[in-house]
Amino acid sequence: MKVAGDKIVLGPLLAVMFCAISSCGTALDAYPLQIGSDKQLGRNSNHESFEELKARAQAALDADRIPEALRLYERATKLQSGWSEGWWHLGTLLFDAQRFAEARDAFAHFVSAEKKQPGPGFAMLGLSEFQLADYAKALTALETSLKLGVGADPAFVREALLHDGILNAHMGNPELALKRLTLAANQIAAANRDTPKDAVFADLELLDAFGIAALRMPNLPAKLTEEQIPLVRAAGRAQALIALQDRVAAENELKQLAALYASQSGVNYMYGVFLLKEHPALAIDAFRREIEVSPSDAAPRIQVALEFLRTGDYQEGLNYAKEAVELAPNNFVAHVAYGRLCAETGKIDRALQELQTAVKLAPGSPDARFALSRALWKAGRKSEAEREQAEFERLKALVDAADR
Amino acid sequence: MSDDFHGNSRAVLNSRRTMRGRILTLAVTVTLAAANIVAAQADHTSTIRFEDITAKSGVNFLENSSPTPNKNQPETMISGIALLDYDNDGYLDIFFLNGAAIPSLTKDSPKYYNRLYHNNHDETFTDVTEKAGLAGDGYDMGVAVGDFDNDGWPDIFIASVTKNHLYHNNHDGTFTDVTDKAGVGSPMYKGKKMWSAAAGWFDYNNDGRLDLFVANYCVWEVNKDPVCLSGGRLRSYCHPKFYAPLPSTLYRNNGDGTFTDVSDETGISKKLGKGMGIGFNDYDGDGFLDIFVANDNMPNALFHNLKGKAFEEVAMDVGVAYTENGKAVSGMGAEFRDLDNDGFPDIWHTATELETFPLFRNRGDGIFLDVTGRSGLARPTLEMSGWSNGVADFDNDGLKDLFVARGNVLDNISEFSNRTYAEPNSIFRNLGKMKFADVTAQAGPAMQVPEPYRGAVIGDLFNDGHMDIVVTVLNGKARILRNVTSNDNNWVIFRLVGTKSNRMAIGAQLRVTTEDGNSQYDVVSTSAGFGASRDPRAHFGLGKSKTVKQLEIRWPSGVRQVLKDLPANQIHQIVEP
Repeated sequence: MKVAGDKIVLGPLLAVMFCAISSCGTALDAYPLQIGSDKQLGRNSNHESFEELKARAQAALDADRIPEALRLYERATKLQSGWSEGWWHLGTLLFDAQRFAEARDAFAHFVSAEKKQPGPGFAMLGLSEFQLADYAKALTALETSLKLGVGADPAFVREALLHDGILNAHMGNPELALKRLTLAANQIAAANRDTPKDAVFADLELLDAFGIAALRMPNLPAKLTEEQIPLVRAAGRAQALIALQDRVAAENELKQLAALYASQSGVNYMYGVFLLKEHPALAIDAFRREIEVSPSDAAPRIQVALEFLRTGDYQEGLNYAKEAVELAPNNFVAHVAYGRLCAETGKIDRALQELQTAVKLAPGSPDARFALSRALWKAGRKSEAEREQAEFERLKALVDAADR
Repeated sequence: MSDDFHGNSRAVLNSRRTMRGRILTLAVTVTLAAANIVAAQADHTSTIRFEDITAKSGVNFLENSSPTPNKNQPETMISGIALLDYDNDGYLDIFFLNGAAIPSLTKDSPKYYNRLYHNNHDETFTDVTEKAGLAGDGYDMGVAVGDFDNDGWPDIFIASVTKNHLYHNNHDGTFTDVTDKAGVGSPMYKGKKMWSAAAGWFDYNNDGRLDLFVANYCVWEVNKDPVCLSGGRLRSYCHPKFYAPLPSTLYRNNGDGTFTDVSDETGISKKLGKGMGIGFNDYDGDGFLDIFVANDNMPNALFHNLKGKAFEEVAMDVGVAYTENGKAVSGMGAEFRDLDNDGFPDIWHTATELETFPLFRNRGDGIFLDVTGRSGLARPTLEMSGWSNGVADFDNDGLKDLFVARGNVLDNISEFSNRTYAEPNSIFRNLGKMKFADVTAQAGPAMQVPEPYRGAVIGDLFNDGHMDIVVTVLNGKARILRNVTSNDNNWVIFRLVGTKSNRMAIGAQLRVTTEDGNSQYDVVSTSAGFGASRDPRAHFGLGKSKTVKQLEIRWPSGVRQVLKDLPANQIHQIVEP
């Protein structure tokens, strides 16, 4: 499957996958297909014609008579709008025919009708929205699919994770993108136990997505220019090695990358993030180099501030955090870092101000709530601290559940 | 500092508390051993130093975890070491725990035996395991020493992956397995015996009998661990998040050799975790011991003792559940002692690389602050993986220092990372005012040797006033690290004997005031680090002071005792009046 305008063929795979997740042979035969007004249709005069249509549609599909199958599934789903299997087949046939708007509508029907396993339908809905360039909706649908489960077919799971990763990077959430892409890479590795790295490196789409996310480029793989591809792909290889936890090989790749592309935005940041886990003392130098290359970027300043916070060098971290807040006033992490550093250096009023801003910007962030609750404890504001603490615990439970 | 036992703010905190104790000034002490100072040079630049005396000691304990390709979780974490004077000859002996064969989880060969080494008083030890009857039978993890029947002889509890064991000391160099009679062998959860990782003795209801707390780790079955790959291909030990948590267990001592599981009725079982390190102390000064449990990748637990009736879990409320950034770390070894001499017990626990080893300072009003960063511990510990740890004044300067046994969790870490499985241990010198400096590099060649260390326990093996360390190496040889710090500082050790209180005086709070007017505080507790049982005696470094101007003891019974002008460089036995 190719993204963004290239030919996509998912039909056979998805038909098999849907049967796998829904136990076609048994559960679907007994599936209570009729909902709403369709009940009357199903039980009365149209019952025969629906069954007939269903059988004919399946036969056409089995015989690879795609246009006929499409027409029959369209008719059958009109008769019984609660027939999820029909919407699935119709959606996948439309998707393969690159009729993405119609495919989107079919999958929207599917996720409404399917009560047992709607996750794959949300994934297809997201992939359809992706093709229609409605990226926000695509991401929402794909995130929903990952929460609900997209089944066990490796190729399909890879599609969902890859596109979720691409979209998260495009929408300015590269950290989440890297999480999704890491899952995709590990799944490929697990399916290729003898040559895991080769299998991952052979997936150029995945490498490009990795590279874009790691370099924090607000771009789509299909929009990369010829000049950008060598850098992105090299970064992607390094990030894939990190995903596979081969950090020795990753470090070699990153060293080469940093040497070749030292003046390119994002490269030193990526190296710095890696060093945070391997050689934290060196990470700050990498982030400082990134600040030189990308002076208006708040992210490396936030990283430096957080690292100084971690090592207890609070005074050294303050300026970086302050600059980050100035550069990115809507970045809640910058406010958390600045607020925590203020609290550690005795500027408790300013700390509370920053942390309250962070909570306003990201009310669903357990980190922001926790930092605010600790600062409130320090300030002796017990009842407010307890309130924030309770909210932290509630949000943390949600995040933990999602992680599981 | 006021004259109150725990300073002004504690006085405020305790204002609602009924003062049950009596103030006594009976100087009834027995000098047990004269000073045997290694060197009495006035050297203010002297550093903490240790010498490895294993080769000449006769201790040749080889820990065996039975590592398998299936990467069974217990293989990474055998830790138990106890220092106990099992024969009451005045010298600490050493007891090591060991693993077992996998998948049988039985000690089907002597290579898996637990080992007891008798201290010959001359830097050598003799293996007396078989005579003592302590070889064991299962896959053992943590050890706790306590005199549960108050007969004056220390007994041994073993927390195990398999059946737990309680051994009663027969006073003749042998032990009897009394597990079944005591009813402490199989703490259950959902119909299965839990994997117990560590345990500790304390008297939670101050009835004069030691109760038993057991930290349970996670739901696990042999050879059924999930497959976790590193480097895309290497099977590695899985992260703890892949295993379900368990509650801890509390047994109340019935006084007749039996125990009752009171985990439910006291609220202990409400909190699930992956318990490893256990610390007992009275963080709010209400006269009842509280329990800190370091959990592995889950929020820590602090069980506040509600006057011996029940416990409420307050870690989140008091600020010790998470580190300052709101993250649960890989809590392993734990210490719960006063590190800044303000009378309020602090908490220090270990974790793995990139987490730092959190230090929580007890502010005195029921709130702890994470001071890891400002204490100077964050930067040096950031890249360390710590297991058992310990707190003791290694240079006798009046400030408790820190020790940690280190080693990466993953035996194949170097195949896909720049990290190494073996790490050297570390010592952090207490600089005062809750500041610490890593002094490992100056601590002698023995402290530079990287190994996959796991267990660590602290005690004065040679009664010379210098706190020594015993460490274990996973699938390697244990080491005896003798403290050879050379300076002119003085010390004192107190061996407390309870009468109304439990015989070992576990839970007794001591305040030592020296000639310069400074005070130090400690609690009598054998529970230490991860799965360790330390020297039950209380040791204090006195610096230049040649006497203890005043010793104040708050016994678990509530009795208060004040002793004055006790000479330094001696071991004093003090009997509860």
